[in-house]
Amino acid sequence: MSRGARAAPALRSDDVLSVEDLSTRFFTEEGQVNAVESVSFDLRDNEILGIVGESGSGKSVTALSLIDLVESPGRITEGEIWYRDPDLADEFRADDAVGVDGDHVDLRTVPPRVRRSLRGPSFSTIFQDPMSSFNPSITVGEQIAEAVEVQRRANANPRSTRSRTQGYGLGQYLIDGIVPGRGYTSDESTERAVELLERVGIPDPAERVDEYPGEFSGGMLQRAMIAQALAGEPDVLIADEPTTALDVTIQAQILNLLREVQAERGMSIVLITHDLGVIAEMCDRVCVMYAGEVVERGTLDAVFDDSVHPYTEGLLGSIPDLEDPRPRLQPIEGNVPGLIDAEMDDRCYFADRCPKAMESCLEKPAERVVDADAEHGAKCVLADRPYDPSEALPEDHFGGDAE
Amino acid sequence: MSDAPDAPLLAVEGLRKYYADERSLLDRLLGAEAESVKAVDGVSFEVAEGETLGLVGESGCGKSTTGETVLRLREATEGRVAFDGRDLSELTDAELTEFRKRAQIVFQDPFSSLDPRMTAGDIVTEGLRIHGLPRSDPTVEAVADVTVEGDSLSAGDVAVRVDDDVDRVVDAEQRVARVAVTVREAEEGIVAEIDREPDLLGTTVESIEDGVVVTVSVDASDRQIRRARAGSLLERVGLSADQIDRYPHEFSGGQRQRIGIARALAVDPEFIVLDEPVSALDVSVQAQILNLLDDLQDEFGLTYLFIAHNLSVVRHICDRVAVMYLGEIVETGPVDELFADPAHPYTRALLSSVPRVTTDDRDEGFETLRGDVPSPRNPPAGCRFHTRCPEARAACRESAPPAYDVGERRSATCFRADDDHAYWESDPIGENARAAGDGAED
Amino acid sequence: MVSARVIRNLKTEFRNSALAKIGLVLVVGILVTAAFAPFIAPHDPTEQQLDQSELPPLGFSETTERTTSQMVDGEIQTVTETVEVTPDAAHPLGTDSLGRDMLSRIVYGARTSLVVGVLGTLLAGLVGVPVGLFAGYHRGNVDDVLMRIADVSLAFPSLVLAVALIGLWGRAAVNVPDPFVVAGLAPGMPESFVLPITVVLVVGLVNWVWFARVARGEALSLRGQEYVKASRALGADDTAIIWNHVLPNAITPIIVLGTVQVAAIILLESSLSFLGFSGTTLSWGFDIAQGRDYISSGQWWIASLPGLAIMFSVIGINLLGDWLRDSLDPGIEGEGGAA
Repeated sequence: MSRGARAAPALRSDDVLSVEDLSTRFFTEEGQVNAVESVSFDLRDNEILGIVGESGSGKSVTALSLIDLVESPGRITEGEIWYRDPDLADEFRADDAVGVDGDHVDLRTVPPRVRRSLRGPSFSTIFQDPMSSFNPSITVGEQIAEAVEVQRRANANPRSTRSRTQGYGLGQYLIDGIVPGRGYTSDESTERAVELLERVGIPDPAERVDEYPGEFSGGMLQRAMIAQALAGEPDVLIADEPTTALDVTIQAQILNLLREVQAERGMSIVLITHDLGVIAEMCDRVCVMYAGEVVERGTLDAVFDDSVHPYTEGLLGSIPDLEDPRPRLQPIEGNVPGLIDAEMDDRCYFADRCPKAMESCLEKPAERVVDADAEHGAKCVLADRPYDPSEALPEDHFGGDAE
Repeated sequence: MSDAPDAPLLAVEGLRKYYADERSLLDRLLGAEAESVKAVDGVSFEVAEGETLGLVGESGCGKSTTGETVLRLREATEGRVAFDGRDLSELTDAELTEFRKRAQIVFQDPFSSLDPRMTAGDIVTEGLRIHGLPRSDPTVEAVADVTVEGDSLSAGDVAVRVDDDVDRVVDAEQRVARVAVTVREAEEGIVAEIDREPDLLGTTVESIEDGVVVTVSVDASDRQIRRARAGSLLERVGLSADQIDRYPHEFSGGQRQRIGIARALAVDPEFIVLDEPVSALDVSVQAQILNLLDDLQDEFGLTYLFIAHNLSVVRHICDRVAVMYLGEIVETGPVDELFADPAHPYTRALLSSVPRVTTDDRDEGFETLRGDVPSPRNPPAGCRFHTRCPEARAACRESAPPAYDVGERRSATCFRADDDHAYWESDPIGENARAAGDGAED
Repeated sequence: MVSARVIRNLKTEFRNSALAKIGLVLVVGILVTAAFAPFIAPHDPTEQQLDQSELPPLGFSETTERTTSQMVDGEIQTVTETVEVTPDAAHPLGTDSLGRDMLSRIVYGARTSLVVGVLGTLLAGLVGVPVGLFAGYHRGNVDDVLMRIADVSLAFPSLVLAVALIGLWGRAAVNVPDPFVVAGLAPGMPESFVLPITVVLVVGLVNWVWFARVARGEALSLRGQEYVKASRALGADDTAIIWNHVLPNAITPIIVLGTVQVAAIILLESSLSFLGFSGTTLSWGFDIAQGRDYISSGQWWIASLPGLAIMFSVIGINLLGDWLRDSLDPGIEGEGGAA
């Protein structure tokens, strides 16, 4: 099977990942929640792509969808996730059920077993809360060494999905409790864990490798999580709010570290955050998400300096500037909408908060290309024409229930 | 109000708050040593009436503990907190209750700061119930502005009496609660209408020999008056009065924070501790709340102690800043000067760690501090910052620097502020020493 | 305090859970039985009909060896014969060794169990909840002392404690007149109901610890909530805070514990009656004790039918407790939406 019948833009050879029309929905008791709505973006070699949005914008669910970790009642309902892996492409080229295009494979069509085997060696993730990402009863070193083992096994047998964790049951736990030091990771992988800890800047890594997560500070643990993510030597690192729980001086350390390892390993990073400052410091290209959609995307300069979508403008206007204390902030009025399918009209989802809402915004805007080389796009009519006050929606169009 | 015109509203001197480790009765009987956490260790600052002082620092620096100790929500281990000239530790119970009306707090977490089993109205009126408000102020005069309409009535025939306690319903301006009463003839006889709070105030019209007597009195229960007040407070903070019966979980984070602000405003305070009021909010909502706090300060003449870790927010809203590190204030000063030219290396590091929302200075990386914040259980000797300080020298290890004046109303606890200090002669330590050593070899 | 949301949750959980339905049916059944015992019981449960003793329940027939002594020629002759005992429709669940109607005894036994269970739980809660809330809210020495007492009480077998207390206080009981009988609506039924007051006191005082522990745990976590701090900042005193903020937010686990406690106390009351420490002779536990000697001789129903009654009521109340637990809590702190 080749690519779908829709006229999708061609895959570029430098796209590590290309996401097309990805939709993830949650089927809850209150109704269907459209957490991610037809999201498309691509991740190039050697870049940091930022996904920025407020809470409820769908940015974290997008991340989980990429690594196929959306949990019930959520489900990816539509879309394609093209991942560049020549070996995998060759393996499935003959398989009609699997989408293959050149070196790219549509991960949504490969068997779950294969998808699982990609986590670690191909995709790694770091999360916001390192405390809950580590098992408190196993040493940090062992947990990193385990990731190393997974990588080893993946190298030896690319399609094996067995992780050693699967053999780690209650019995093993009890034996470990009785017989101290009976690790289930090899010496080599522990050595590698020490190297990794050293790489991410943990002092005295040889000693700290035997400590438990509770003995690490938040910043140290976040470093350890990066070490764990690097263990699999992934092509793509997905960092979901990696510094949100950290203090600003520690955040600066972690961001520097991320930038260093990215340059060093030539990985691509998807950096998900609500902090526009972090985006501005770190990213090459940006997707701005609102209500489950990517409303504006483009290079950092294009999105920040020549923003088209009023939501992007509003976000930028909401932030107090460190250098220039303007007397008054220009916030976006109202609240982030709920994403219950039944309550969402078929219109621009931002129109009810938008200071430039016009009558044409009552129709759902398609993505429009802003610049010549199609790098900068926005789901907003203002990409095509300037704001016309004579077409403005009356203030009370959406009722007075705004905040 | 205080006697001296220039006395600060809040003066904190040498405040310390140590937490002893939780020990059980058994441990104490067995005489186990308690280890104490020095959350706040000798903090002094002042807040003048009408100004906003920012207390900024990283987690664990003791800023929130300071905020709560200042309000006597926690008892200080040592030191003096004076509000409007009175030492808080000397207040009697009745005076403390009075103080609670004058000083309020708004918390960070919009989810845990509202009781999930109370409606918005109950939450906002809690302070009114506790203090038995609204009470009539005996010094407030009740006055009616009378308008008489109709041919057969003349102003001379109408006498209007206003009960003394209408100031429970009508806000007094300059010690006068004013009600406009319109008396006119209608089909059913002479009627009186009032311009304000028609649901809470009632009028009676009595005909006497040579005219009519109109009496304006409060015609509502305390509960109704409080409810009306809650409604207007909710409207003041940007919610609608018909949301009064909703429960907290029916509101978004920003709306909940507005309810928390309304709760603090209800008792008509002069001073509010804002403990990270916008940290848990999305940026667009954060900006709304900051603007609201600005407006309320102007409208009610409030004094704020604004606790935050976000420097941009502090820059935006504060007049002066105090930067805290490990239980101590390392630098204070007016916000513009302090941000433009930080005197303490920690302040400088904090400022350079903040990711800027501009595309101008990309790819430069951050100047970062090394290491983690040391444990407040066992803070470093000498200057507490010396373990992370890029400028640290041997002298910093030996003694703790005092607060040096570094400009008008500015101070910094760093030897570098003293040109004659032995610091300048002592050897660099930590990474600086290594750097210096490398330099020497070259 | 019971908001529309709670009611909605109760309904949803009820619809979705077969166990909740079973629990509700059982509990309502017991409640109705206990309340309207004089109308449901076919006989006076204390009326002895020696000629009708040991009748099996309907559907069972029993062969039993009956020994009769006769005076034959001046000598006492003992004749043992095997008799077939057939059930009597007037006694659907049979009769006990003294010819008392089992169905009536079980119906009236429900009263004892339920009254002791509910009153005992209320007493335990009234003692334990304030103690626990106070200790958890104030912490410090008060907390240490109260919780050590609680630990000791928990470590001590409750039945032994109960027996010791009853030994100390005696077996007091009060006669509560039965309103239906007094009003003449149910002639022939016992005119009063025996409330074993000591048993109520004892089970209450034995079980308060559970309430104290749960209430303390809740108070400990709630005291750190910002709304409690906010209330203090507004000038509320501790009593007002405990009453207005801590108790309402701690009530859900306490209610759930209460249902479990009713069941536990019913069991404890049965045990005490079984051991002969109750002040009433109309109790499931008492009947089990009476019937235990007859199990070996074939009259299984005298002990096992009250046993089944205990089992079903305990199961019913526990299922009800699960339903309350599942529906009172979810989503109260929850945020809507994804991501």
